[in-house]
Amino acid sequence: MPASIELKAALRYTGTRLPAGGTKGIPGHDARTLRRSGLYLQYIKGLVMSSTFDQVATIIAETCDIPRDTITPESHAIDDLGIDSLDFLDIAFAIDKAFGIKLPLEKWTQEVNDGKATTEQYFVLKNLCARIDELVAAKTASA
Amino acid sequence: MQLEYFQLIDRILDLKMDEKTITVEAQVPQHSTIFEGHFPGHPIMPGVLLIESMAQTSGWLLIALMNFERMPFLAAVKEAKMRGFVTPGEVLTIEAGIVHEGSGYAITEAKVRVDGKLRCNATLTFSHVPFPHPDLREHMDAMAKRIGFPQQALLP
Repeated sequence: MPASIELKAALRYTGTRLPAGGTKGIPGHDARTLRRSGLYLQYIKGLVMSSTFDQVATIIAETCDIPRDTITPESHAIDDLGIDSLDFLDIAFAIDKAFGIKLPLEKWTQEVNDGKATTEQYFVLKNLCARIDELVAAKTASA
Repeated sequence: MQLEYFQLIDRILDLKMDEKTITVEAQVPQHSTIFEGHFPGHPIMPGVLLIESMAQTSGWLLIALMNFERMPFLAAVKEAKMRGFVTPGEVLTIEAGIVHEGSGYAITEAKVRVDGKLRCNATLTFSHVPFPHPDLREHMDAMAKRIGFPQQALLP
């Protein structure tokens, strides 16, 4: 079954290649079944997530001279990777540039300071990537 | 320039809010105790002061873009290059432009020229916060007046 327009767009956007065999490559599901079950969206989200994470991990590795293989989706940028606020500015700049967004660092800092959010929500990389995806989606929607 | 007060900008020549660029002018003083040590018989403006002059130029641009509501602080200096000596009495033309405006931070590129020739340049990162003290805001207002900040450039 040919990949749908949304999937194609997601793939193009993330620069991800479709697995061998197209959507058939997803075990036991064709695109229609996946779409129906909601798994399809999850699949696209997975593709976007993994690609966002790869880009962010590469940015962190290059900006802060941290070995790429020590950076995982579970890593906490501050507590695990030891990134300080100044280094995080460099990372934020690279992320802003790479994704065409503006990470709301001030808002996040305020929320953490006010006890309305934890640093994990923004600085554990899988969560950071989810926030990035949300910002990209919001930007795309308003464009 | 009044080096002893760290006032490195004499006047704003041009401020383009739409293009997010600024050009300022500053004359290196003929005499300063700094030149007695830097260096005897070969007085030159220290590189750190040239960087500071680019930072102050960028700072005025950022203050303008943030409508005098926030104060930028120099956070990082990258790719700073001192390409030639800057000597007492020379008139510097310093330009700065925005590379990126982030949340709570900004990155600028600045250049110092003498007679049109590039003497130094740098990429600078600033973090900015609401003015931390009314005295500082007052001081910056007074400085703005002194260097001919074009108030009409600001949004009403």
